[in-house]
Amino acid sequence: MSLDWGGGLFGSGSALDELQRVGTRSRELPRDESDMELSEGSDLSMSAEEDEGEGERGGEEVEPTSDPMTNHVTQMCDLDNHMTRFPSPAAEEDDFIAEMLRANEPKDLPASAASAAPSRDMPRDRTSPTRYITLYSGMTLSRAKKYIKTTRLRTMQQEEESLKNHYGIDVSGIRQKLVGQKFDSSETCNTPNPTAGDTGNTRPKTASCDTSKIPADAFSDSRHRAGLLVSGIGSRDGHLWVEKLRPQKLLDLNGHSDRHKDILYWLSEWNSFIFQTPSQAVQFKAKQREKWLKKSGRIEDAVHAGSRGVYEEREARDRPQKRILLVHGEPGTGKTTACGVLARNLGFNTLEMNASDDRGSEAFRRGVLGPMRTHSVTSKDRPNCVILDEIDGADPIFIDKLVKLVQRDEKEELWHERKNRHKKTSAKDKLNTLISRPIICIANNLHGLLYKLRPHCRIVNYGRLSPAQSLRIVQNVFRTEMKLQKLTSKQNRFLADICNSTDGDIRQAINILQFGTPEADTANLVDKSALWNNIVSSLFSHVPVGKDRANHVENLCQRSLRCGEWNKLVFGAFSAYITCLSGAGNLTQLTNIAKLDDWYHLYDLANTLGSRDSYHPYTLAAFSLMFGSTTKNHVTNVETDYSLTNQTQTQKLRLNDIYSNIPVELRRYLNKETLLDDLGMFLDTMTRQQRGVTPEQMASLAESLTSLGVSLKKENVYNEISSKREDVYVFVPPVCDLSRAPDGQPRDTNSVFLESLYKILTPDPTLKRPGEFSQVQPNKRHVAAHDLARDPDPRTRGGPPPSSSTAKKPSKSSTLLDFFIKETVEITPSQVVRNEAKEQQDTLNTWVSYFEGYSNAVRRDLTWEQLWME
Amino acid sequence: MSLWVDKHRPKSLDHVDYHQDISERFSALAATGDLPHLLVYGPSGAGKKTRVMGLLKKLYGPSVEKISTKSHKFVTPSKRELELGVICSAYHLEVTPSDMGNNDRLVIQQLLKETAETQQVDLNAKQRFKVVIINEADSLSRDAQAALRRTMEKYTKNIRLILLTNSTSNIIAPIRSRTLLVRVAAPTEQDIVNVLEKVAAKEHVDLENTKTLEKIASHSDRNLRKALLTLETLYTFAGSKTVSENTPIPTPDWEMVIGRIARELVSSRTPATLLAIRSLFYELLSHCIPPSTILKELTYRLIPVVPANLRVPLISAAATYEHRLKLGAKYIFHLEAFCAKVMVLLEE
Repeated sequence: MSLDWGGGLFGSGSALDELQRVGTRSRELPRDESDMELSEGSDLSMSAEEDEGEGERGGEEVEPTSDPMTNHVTQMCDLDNHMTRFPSPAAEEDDFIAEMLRANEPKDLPASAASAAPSRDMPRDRTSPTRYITLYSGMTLSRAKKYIKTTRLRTMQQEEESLKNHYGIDVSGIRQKLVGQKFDSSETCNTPNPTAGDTGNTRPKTASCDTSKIPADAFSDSRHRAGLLVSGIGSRDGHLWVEKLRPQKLLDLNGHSDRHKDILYWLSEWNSFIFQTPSQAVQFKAKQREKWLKKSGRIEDAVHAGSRGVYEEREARDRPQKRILLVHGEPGTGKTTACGVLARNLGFNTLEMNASDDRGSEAFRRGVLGPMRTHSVTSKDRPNCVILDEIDGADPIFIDKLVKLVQRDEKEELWHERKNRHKKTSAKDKLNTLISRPIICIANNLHGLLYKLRPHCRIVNYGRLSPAQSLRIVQNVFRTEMKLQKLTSKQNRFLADICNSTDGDIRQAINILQFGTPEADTANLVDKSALWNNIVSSLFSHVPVGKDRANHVENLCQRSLRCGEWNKLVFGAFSAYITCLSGAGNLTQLTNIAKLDDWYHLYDLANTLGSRDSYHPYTLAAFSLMFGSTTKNHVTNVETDYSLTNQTQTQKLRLNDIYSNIPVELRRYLNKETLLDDLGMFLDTMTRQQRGVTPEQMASLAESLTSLGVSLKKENVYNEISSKREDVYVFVPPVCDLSRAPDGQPRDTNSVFLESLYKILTPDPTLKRPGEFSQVQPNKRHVAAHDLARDPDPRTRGGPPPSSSTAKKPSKSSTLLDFFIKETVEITPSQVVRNEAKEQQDTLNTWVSYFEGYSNAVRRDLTWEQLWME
Repeated sequence: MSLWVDKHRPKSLDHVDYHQDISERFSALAATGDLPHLLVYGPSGAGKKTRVMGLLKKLYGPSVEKISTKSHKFVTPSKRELELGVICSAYHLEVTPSDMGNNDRLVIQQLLKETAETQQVDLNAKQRFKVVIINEADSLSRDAQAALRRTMEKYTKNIRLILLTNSTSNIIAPIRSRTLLVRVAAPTEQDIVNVLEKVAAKEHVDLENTKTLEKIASHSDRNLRKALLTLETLYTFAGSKTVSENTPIPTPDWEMVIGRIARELVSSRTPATLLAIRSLFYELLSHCIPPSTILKELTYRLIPVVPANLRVPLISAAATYEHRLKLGAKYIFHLEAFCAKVMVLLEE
């Protein structure tokens, strides 16, 4: 029976949610009345039947519900329609309730018409779900309450049995306490005669007699407690603090502020492409063009150019260099929250796909490709931003497709670049397969499937939050929820305990907080003796002699069994014992350390073989017996092997990248396992910074690197220290630092060496494509250039008109044009000033060309006047 | 152009520089026109693959060197699609189990069946069977090896297997009994010097005397590939200068770190040293240096510096902890315990 009830609760719970949702939806969308009547009616009749049975069992008085059901629902619909008239439901709720009361009065409670009036003045609970129950299911309030109460009671009893002491916190104890409270309140709620104050007033009344005297705060508090209970059962999301207090605004974001900045920076790099707010250089270019047009007497053209806006063409390369952002880190550090908040704040409409969605190839088309090209109806014209949450669990095909998308994008961009340089294309025929919207992937770890994706992503790491950081957040939460101005030291200690035991997982900490805070005697709620760091600390405390010794060991074993986090315990003890040793070390200590390995071995073996943990406590006891001392040591910061595994994985991944990049002919002779031993060292030495390298050496070095499939890439990276964007040379795959001295610093980047290597490995792209130039007939190009000069297309990229340069030096025209188009995109401030100054003067299109090999080479226009003057 | 290792790899069995007996045996095998399943084992850089390729060339002629990569698709029982790149020529194919991850049993079964069920189409082919080379066969899971053994017998008509592995210890007995075991031992230092001389002459490396080569050979752990790579590195950065005896041979950083650990162990025997060493161990492990390699290297470094009467107990301790390393998963415990043990030995 009780099992059925559990199901019944969840069933009806979801029905309840459904009801609410219908309620809210009906405010937004006009709905067919009869339609609604049907569906609601059928839904409700079911729950009503259930209720009836329950009501009888509870011995509560039963209201006649069967007959007026349909009538009632129709009325409800009227109400709903009524509601749609109000734009903001929150403000109009009182009217709505009043309306509802009036509607209810004659049917349910004919006798209580008089008492309804005073009840309207009482403060009302706007969030309680119970109101909707009264409203929609047609039960009377007292029955609804009874119903909810009994269902809660039953599930709680069930849940209690399955609860364990996680994190040393006696959850079931708290639960019981709360249950007691709840009963008190609901009892008081039900004892006064149901006809008196029940018409629609649904707040749980702890004191129904003196309602008027209770301040608003107290109400919220009692309501809050009820909310606590509800959330404990998981019936409503909004009451979980984790969800309720999830940051919504930019300023609410906590934790890794520098990482948030990284994300923000990346997202804002999309601005010029998506929102078409131009970068300054482009803005200037456009202005210049307009001025120039005006000056040369073509006012219409200038106006035309102005009205057409600057950004006719959205350049593919206006996007961030890496089109995908990959955020990774521990659970509970705020990855998903930060991404969502930042994207929304920058004006995106976020579309999230997570592990709950099916992620095959079809889903990829729908969820990733779709949003690239469309706006969703509800997004109010905001561009989409796709957030692929929990991508490490996605189907391999999904990730493959993502990688292919990026690769296609890169190819396409290259193609556009080339095309743009030599032929003008309309903006329409591009951007077809380009990634046109930001894609953010979120994962817990980068290993496994994601290695293919990683090279194409900007990677942001959300590490573990420090206990201090998480404490600050948890304190904030506690203060807001409890409405406290200041925290007592006791409370602070309690919060610190929570933070220490959860290891930087904010979500976990807040969850514990929510279930562990109700009363002042917090000390009893956390079983401090079972917190792992406390156990580790007490391992190294004084060990009594004689009979107490056995008791001590027994006590330790019991406590560690209650804690159960063996890995943390043993590693904690392992990393702490040496620091707890006193003195310079004598033979016995060393012998003990050596002996300790027998115990580790036992633990390690039992753990690896997956045997039961019944022997684990004795490993800990061994620590205590060997190293327990009189000095009191408090162990605080304890490392586990987690970071080690993480680093090892990264290194493995790096090796894997290198291995898979080696050409097949050579790779078939290599063994992945011994790769680091022979080839790793070779690569490491070869890529090391060398001084005084001759060109021949460089050439042979480049040769051997190419034969291993290694290339050097130039990347424009944001440097956090100097807060500038800098060119950085990166080996692809990452062969550098393979066997860097463990305690050594990462090598300083000798950019001269790398630059020269880069030049050899990747020949200059402008020289690389001679074929394209030769295809164009010189005279044709000439004509085209003249056309341009006469009727300058606003889409041309060049700032100063290229016409004269081509006219003057036809032999060199093609390369010059190319060169200058490229150059003018990045205009230095000094040039800007100079150019603007020149613009003021009457131009006769006389060009003086300076020595071009020199990097400061500037082409400027002079008037005859100037020429003579100088 | 490619690396010297690749460039000067012997192209046939006749040109192999050392282990002539193996070459002769292989030649004899190829001459019979039939081939048993082979299990070729030996340390890395000894020339297993080179010899196997030579054997294939004897069997099928030069066209076996025309290789290409084909991707095979597999569907796991859980309907997941896998893709695996397989290197193959018209007569043979090569797989590496570590590419397949957890599904190696499935891949082995399907791939071998597929290959075995199609007969050799080419009438001009010298042999009726195809050869499947399995690299790193010791990393095949038990399941996969078990799947292999029946297949080996069932399809003998059409396929022959050549398993390449570093040691036979991870190969299950049924497979060992079905194969002809061929051991390719690591070349001696003299062998390495000979090869290095030959390559140096071909590449016109200026050498003062053969002492340099001997030095390289002694640093190479009798791994020919490593020796050749070292020679090339030295040559690249020596430039116009001659490669002399005094040219420092690049050693991997991790070896130097282990040397440091050994020194510290001997010089100061306190818990504080242990703490310092622990962080070094952590770094080594995080750089994917196998813990057993760390232990081995450390022991070798310690042996010359400890008193003679302690050497046996030292090695015995190393063996004990190595065993524990293999059994367990938390390496750092055992490495540290070994250090403590060494300290205790030295104190006593």
